[in-house]
Amino acid sequence: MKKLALSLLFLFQAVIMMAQNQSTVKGKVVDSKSQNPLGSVKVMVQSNEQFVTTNNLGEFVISGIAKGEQKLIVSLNGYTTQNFSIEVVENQTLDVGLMLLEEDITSEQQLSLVTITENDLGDDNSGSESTAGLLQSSRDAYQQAAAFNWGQARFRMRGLDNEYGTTMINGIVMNKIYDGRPQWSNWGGLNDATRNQEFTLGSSPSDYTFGGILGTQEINTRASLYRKGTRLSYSGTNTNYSWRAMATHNSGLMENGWAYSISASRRWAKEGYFEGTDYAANSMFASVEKRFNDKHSLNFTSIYAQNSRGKSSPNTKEVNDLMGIKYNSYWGWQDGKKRNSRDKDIEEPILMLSHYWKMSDRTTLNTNVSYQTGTIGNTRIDYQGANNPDPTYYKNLPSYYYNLGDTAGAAAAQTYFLNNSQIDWNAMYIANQNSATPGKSVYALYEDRTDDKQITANSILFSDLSDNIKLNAGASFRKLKSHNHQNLLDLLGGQYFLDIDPFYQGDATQSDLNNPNRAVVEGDTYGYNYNLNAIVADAFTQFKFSYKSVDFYLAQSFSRSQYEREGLYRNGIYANNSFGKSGKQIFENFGFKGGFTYKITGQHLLDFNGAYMTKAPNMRNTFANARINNNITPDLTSEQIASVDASYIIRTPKFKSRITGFASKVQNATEISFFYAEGVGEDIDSGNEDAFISELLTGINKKNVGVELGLEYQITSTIKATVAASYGHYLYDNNPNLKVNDDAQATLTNTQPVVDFGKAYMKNYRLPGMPQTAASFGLEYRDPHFWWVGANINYLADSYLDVSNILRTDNFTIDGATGDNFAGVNEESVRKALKQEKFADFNLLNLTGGKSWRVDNTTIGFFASVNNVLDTTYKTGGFEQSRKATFPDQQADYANGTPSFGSKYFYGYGRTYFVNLYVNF
Amino acid sequence: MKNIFLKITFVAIALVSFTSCDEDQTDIPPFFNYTFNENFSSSPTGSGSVEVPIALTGWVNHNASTSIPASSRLWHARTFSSDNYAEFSSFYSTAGTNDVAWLITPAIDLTSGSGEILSFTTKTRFSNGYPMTAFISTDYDGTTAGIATATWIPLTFTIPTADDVITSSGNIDLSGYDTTNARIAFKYTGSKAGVTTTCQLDNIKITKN
Repeated sequence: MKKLALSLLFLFQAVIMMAQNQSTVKGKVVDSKSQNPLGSVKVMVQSNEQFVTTNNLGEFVISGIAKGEQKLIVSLNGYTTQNFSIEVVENQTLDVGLMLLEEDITSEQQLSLVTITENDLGDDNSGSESTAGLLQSSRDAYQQAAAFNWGQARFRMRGLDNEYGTTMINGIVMNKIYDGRPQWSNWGGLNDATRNQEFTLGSSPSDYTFGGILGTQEINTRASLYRKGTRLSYSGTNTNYSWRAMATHNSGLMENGWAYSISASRRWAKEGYFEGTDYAANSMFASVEKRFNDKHSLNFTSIYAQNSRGKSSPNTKEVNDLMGIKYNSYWGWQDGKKRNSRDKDIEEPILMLSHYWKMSDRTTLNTNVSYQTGTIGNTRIDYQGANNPDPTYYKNLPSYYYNLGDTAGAAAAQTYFLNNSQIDWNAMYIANQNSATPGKSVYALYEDRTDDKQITANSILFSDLSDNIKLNAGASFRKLKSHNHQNLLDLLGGQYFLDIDPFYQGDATQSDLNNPNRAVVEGDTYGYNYNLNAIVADAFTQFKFSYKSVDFYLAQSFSRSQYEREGLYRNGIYANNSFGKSGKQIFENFGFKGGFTYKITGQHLLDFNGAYMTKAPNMRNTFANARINNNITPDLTSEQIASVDASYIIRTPKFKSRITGFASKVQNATEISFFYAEGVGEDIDSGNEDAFISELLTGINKKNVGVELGLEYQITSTIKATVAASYGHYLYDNNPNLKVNDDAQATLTNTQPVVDFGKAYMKNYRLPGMPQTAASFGLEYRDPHFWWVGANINYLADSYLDVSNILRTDNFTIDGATGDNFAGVNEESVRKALKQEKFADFNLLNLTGGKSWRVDNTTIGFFASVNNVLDTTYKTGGFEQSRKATFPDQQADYANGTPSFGSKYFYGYGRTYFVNLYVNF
Repeated sequence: MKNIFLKITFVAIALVSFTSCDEDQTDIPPFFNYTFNENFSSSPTGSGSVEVPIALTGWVNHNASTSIPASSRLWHARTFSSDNYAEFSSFYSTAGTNDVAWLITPAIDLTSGSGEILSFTTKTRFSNGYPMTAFISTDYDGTTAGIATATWIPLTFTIPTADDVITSSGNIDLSGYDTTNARIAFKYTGSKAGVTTTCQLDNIKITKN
């Protein structure tokens, strides 16, 4: 309230100060080579960031510009941004004539980025864990390094997860309600069509949304914004795919007021960088705009991106030592082909209707309605009363025998494993054919399926209240119905699969008491079946004030999130709290942010941003064990997030730099991990390795503090040097609460069988899975004859293993049976056993280059890059296994140096290349 | 201008040094930090009429019987449900004797920590009176002769209210004893003709902060 009053106060003051000024600048922007006029070029006055875009003839007019020396910044995607100095005389019109923009051939680099961002590590449905995808269109030296050079090493800006950023298409938020992360695959392969992007870093203001503390990315697909022309490209690489073909045609705004853009691409690989990772993706895009008059324009966008790929396994050191880092345990030979048992299939097309309404010279209203529907599936092998088909199952490995003291057995296991290191599809077919119950499959392939239907509507108002004050305001509404179920894909030669859980007794074996003992066939739903329904509404307002020496802004937001689970099965373990609705969970959240830029001179600026907000837990973390019951996560609350940053920015024609100190605090976060429990709580050693456990970690505080630096120096007109560095300290800041949902203890009266493990002693453990230190030095030579080469050397360090939470509870040190320490427990031994593994630091050398030729109106060019030229082997992440959850068990497992349940690791790519040939006409 | 640049550089360096403090010590799960911990798991046990006296290094196990003839029976180790403990009962003592059976710990250093807490567990069987008392001494010399001359300060602890129930002594505050020569003594006083209650003693622990 107080802040609102304050902002109104500023508003009035600004109105009074508003100056009357009739100076005008006009001009025309053309391509430096073809002299063709360029439309949709952004022409901005540097001093107050007032901007206009050029019309189809390349012309622009800026009125109400302040007198004196001014700088115009002229920018267009795919072109090198130009600065022009002008002298404005009061009440006169200045015609600057022709302004030449030169095509930026290095922008081809954007096309290689997607190969990094799509290769997500997670086993669930989430998007990439690197923030590189956010940054692909950024021109900031630091952000470019983060995207192109550090992205492959899973660098995350400011140590923040993608759920703290906001990715939008036409102002429609694309972060999933389920986990808060954008699903990059939804528009993967459409690089040409998603080139028009705006990025804001941290909590600095975006015109489209209040946003999070990581930053915002706005992808604009308005058809008239695309530069007229046709583009064909063909690429070869050895990353997650081998080949990519892409074609795009843009009409530009035609005289009849229509504009359209169409694009299609296909990417495929028989086998990507890691063994058995096949890849097939088809993407299509169409955007059509009709400009009815100066005031109204309608745009329809449709995006269809289908993606199917085989995943690769994280492996223990033991397995990697035997098989190499490209080894993938998920695939096996079938009919002479490599078949992957863990496929990820995504197909979620988006339809979007946008209305642009220029209400006056100063005010624009953009309204969008979007509908997205489709499926995500992650496949897996199911089995009943049969051996685990995983070739790296711990009893198949030499370590299992070593740890039993059986050296001969270990040698035999090693020989066997080396000869049988892949999934044996044939053996599963034979097992099914020889099933004890004829026709009943003991092995089957299924997918964890999510079928979403989401409708989104939003309206965003952009208004210049005065020459000095801009208002952005928006409201949005999202409604999601997400159907989650287990879908049987392949009976592997059998005739049916029995929908029971054989590890339980009586009713508890049934996945659906309303329909027990079902024999399911391919295409049937079984196991679990439920809907998640969500309604999220939010609104924001933002005032931006700009004056001669200082700019500042204030913004506030409010949101309301409502989640509900609806069980479609009556699970035998939770007969009375699995079927039907869970009841609505409602979270109301707000946010405030503000900041200012102090212009010491036009070239030296100080910039400060601060934000405080609360954030609803995402839907994934709201339900403790959504697959089989309606329970809500105990102690669930909204997160409190605070963030500040301060920057010193220099922007001279030759030298650009930014140094930023930042700090953020996230409090009361919730993390639910679902895993196939190998021994937590009751069923340690009971052999039930198939129990699906949810570990509920609540009240987590995280602290991220660091400095980032970007420098860019134009040594000569052709040689540019860049330096980027990030030094961070991202850690857990407290000891959160850990509970485990243990289905085995559920009864008709105990419907929420949560075992309280007390505190997980996580304080000062580092946030895992990203380099917390990164530095880059690059040189780029740009020849006037349209070719360029660049080289970057990067140093990445301070990346840590994801530690097991349950190992850090007193369950690890204190024997529940005696209430006393386990034998051997003391400060030194426990500290040693629980020390967080820090990955070795490494250097990456990356080379890029390209050339283009112009023949009449056709540009032909190529772009090539070699990443990790020195073929350095490095870990990008990994996690500790939770099976050996007590000190003596863990010590025993590690006694011989080859634990059966050692940490599993992900590796980065070795030397990879990307070559792209293109034709623009 | 240059001045400002210098200031910013200074701020930047300050920021880096602020964040680049030493590797933070992580928290670790709690466990008991013992100054002393004895659960008799290493003591050989007897059963029935076979009594194997406690003979742990540094311990004193002595019957200061005053009867003539004197009783020579000692605190001995037994096991139940895989859990060893020390036991004494006058029930099997010779008629006409009495028992003053001392079981005394080695010298314990209480100077290395603070907030020391003593606890132990006891259990009685066939009760006809409670026979055990506990003491602390800081001047005992470790000889059987010295028992009589040392200063023994009685310790108050919770005694079982029913037979066959393992009962914790409760937390006995030893923080006031800042000595390298703390000895804890358990004294059974009984006779064949008098109190014969079976007394079992286990889990003698001193925790510190």
